[in-house]
Amino acid sequence: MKNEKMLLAMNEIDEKYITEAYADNIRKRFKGRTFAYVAASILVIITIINLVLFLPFPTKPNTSEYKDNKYYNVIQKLETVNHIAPKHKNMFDFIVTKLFEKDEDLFYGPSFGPIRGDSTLNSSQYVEITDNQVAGVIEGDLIKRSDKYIYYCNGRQLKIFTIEEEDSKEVGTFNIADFKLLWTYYEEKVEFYLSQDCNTITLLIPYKTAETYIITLDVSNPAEIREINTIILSGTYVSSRLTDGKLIVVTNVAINSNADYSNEKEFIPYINTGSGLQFLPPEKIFVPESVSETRYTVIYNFNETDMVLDDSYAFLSFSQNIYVTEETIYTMHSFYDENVKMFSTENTAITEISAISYKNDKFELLGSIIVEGSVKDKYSLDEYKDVLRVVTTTDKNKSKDILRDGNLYTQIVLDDTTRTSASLYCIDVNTWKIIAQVNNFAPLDETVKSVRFDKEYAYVCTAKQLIDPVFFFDLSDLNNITYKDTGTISGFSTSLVNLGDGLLLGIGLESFGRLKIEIYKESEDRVISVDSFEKTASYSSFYKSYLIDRENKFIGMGIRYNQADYYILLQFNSNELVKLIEVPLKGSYDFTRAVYIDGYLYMFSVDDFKVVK
Amino acid sequence: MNDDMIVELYWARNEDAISETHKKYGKYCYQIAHKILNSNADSEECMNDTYVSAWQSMPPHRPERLSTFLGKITRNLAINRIRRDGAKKRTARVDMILDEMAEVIPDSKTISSDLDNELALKDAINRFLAQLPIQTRIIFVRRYWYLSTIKEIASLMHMSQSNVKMILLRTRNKFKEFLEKEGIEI
Repeated sequence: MKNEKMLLAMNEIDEKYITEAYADNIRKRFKGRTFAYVAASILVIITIINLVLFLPFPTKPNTSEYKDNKYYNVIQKLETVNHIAPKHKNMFDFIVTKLFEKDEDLFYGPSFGPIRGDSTLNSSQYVEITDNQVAGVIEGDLIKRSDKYIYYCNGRQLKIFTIEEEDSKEVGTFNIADFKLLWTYYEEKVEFYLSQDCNTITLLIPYKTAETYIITLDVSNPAEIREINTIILSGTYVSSRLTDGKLIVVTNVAINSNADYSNEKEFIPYINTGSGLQFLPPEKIFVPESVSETRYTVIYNFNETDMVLDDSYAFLSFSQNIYVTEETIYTMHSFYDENVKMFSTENTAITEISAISYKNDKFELLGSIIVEGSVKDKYSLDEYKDVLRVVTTTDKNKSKDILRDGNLYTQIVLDDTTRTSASLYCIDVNTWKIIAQVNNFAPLDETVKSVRFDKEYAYVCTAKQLIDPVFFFDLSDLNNITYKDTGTISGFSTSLVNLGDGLLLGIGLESFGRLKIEIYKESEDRVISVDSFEKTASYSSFYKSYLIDRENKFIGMGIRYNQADYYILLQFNSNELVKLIEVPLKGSYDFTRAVYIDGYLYMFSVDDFKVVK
Repeated sequence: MNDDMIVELYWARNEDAISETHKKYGKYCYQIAHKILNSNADSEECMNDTYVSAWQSMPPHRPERLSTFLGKITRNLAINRIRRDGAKKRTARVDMILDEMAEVIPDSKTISSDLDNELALKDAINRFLAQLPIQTRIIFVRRYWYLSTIKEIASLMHMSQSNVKMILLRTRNKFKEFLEKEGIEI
């Protein structure tokens, strides 16, 4: 049976070798071999022409004459800065430039003409109401407002309401579902931005699994919402941000393993501005030394005013989420590093974080780092004073494929090596080195449920099933990171929010099916719970569905119980959480939004709109 | 439909996953099974078992490459079927390949079913494959994973059959030396 065992052992060879030997892949490899000799001859001729035309003009200074100088390194560095690079890259560039004396980049400067709404009609003032993670970096949402109107999207329609207290009314509607989208789009992931002059709305619509639509609407006259243009991006929508007039959009483009490389659409990210597909040029695609997945993360930088694409950048890696500061985009990719053995696989969760600068309109890869553990969401990252802080769930497990009744199963092996906890890393973003870390601070088998940073503090909630501690970290001295916690308390928070005045708000579960909203604060030696509100109801775990008003200490959200939907508004007053209102509001709580304006609460959901004093 | 979408169907417990898998990879799985089982009925049964197994594995599994994932399941199921049914159901092709495999296994070693040894064997095979030139590796994997005939490999690789045979013989000898050097017991 030894040889049979050998045959069976061959089944465990790395997948890359199996794919490599796949018949279609071999055929592709050998395609055109017959023409190799002819091609080689042509290649020689082309090479000679290329040498003449494309041999690059020297772009680096020749410093060899200073080679023996003890300051050679300094001279080299100085000369790199001082050296004036030739105007033309090569002879071909020189000839072409001389012939046409015009240098237009079709891909990076597509113009859609006037794209703004008519500013003479609407002289509204923009009012920021999204609780953005980073000040000045606006996030898309289902609700935005000006001083005159509230703009709300329920996933299927964009609606405009006047701000007139009890007399508020709907004054405009745009049907997304009636748009060009033929079938599947993900209404729960739709979000939009309102321009600073309040005349334009930019909708981001994930469509199918492979494309993202950006639709720009003129809302200067709410009664006549007009579509201005549509841009289609390849890839699944990941996230977006609006900052300083730049709209940053991130997508993930997955490439099939059997992609046809003669068809660029199958393996190169593209954008369609209405005049056909335009593919990212090779110099805009970064290919790291080792590629673990055939997916691109593609980042687009649009000028929000006219939706002209200023830059785009793709790299072969997968990102589930992004964190954006005023200058940098951080992409995150958590996955298991597999150490494959004969009959089992040891899996260690790791996260690859990459930083891309987007200042000066152009993207530049700053660096990347791998930390142990998986990242829950964008709130798990924070950059402060050139230090990137990251909280991860560390996770090591072992799995094995087992055959039972002729079927193959992947089973997690539970033993002492299968444990989870949480770790905190501080990374110097100039050197890309970990400069401080707190490993496995959470009790074993717990995972990170929510994280918030606030300057020199970090708040982390970890839990095992429905029992959690909340940690307060003091990161003011990275050589001496200290932390306190609540100890074991029931429930856990799916969102942690800094409520101001040293208060931390936790929104989560007390037990299965029971909502718990809790206020924490730091005491001398531990973190204490000040008060909590509990109700047997289900709620949305989407942070943006909550109304957080720090000034008035309001907390609002949609909930569902007894098969009906409601909106509740709580206020933290002195030392207690008080429920101010609870009103029926039809529609899924994930789409519920509310805004508090001058003593009135305006509430919106998929099928309802209410104003309460 | 692309692989990601098919995997999503499995995760959504949508039975279209099976029909889409069959549409895209049915022939591929059937060919793998047929090479081992040499029976239309058994191969079809094995192909159906593959779909059931994929349905039960996803979730929680999310394969990186669906084709390889399905191929591995099919191959495993087919080999287990011939192990269960004994030599009478083996194809001549499998017999031949098993004989070739027997050449590789060091003679002086005792039979061990110890898990560590099996882990070491798998690790050794992958390290051995990693150090082979790409063409040799493809030929080796085609022969001992896909169980292709010499003629099929020769046609795929645009080589003569004798050349393929020679490469396989040399690679098997190298593999034998490698296993001996590593002290791997089968």
